[in-house]
Amino acid sequence: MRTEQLDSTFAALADPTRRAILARLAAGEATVTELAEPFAMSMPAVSKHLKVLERAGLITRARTAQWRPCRLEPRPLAGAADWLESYRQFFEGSYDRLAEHLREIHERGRHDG
Amino acid sequence: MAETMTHREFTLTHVFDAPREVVWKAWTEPEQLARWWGPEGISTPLATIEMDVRPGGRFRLTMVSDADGSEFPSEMEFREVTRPERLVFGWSEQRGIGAGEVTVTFTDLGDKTELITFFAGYATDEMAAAAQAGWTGQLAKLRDLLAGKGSR
Repeated sequence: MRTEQLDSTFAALADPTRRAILARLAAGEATVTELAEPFAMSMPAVSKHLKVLERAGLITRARTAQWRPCRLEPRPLAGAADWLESYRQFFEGSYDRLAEHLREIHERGRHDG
Repeated sequence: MAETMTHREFTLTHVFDAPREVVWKAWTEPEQLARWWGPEGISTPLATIEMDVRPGGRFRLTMVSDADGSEFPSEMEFREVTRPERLVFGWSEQRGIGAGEVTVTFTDLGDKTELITFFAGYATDEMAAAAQAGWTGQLAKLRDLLAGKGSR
């Protein structure tokens, strides 16, 4: 049983679609419909991936709500994701500054025009 | 196993309050890039920026930490340039940083512009080892948990 659990965790991560689903869930919980949207995949196909991830302990699904949103269980992924997070923070930080820069250009344009 | 473990991707979506042409220029003109490239606490001096915005063109810059002046040079290249819609740039493995590629898509929303940033990158052996160590640590914890609590 324990070995099985570890095997399923590794197997779950080997698939690019499942990694993309996990990346999407890192931004917040989502329903199956929301998760299916960017992948051009049928709902049953996405559900299948979700079952694999759930069995691997990488996501949990709400039992109560009818639409059963999926949630990432981040701990098993934390170590491997650190370097990726630094790139994400790089762009988030840069784009905050870009937004500010564009506001300044806009203000200046109003004065000049 | 190592290869499937170390390739990672993410997508960021932002909407900027400026027309597409303005956002494209802010992204591709060194004078403007110098104003915003790098997260809080990092500056990118204009003198260090070299941008030849065409396929195969050089994209080089050096980021400088405001706190201690330490420098982070980046050597990148543009791989696809479709003005004002799509910009692809990438880098090969260098100074302990794994190869990566970024695709930026500019969508015209009238007065606003949607920017979709897609990152795909590889960890170097060094980074992979660190990540693997973290991963192995997590697995050890998982194993302990399973040992302590039975099958769940």
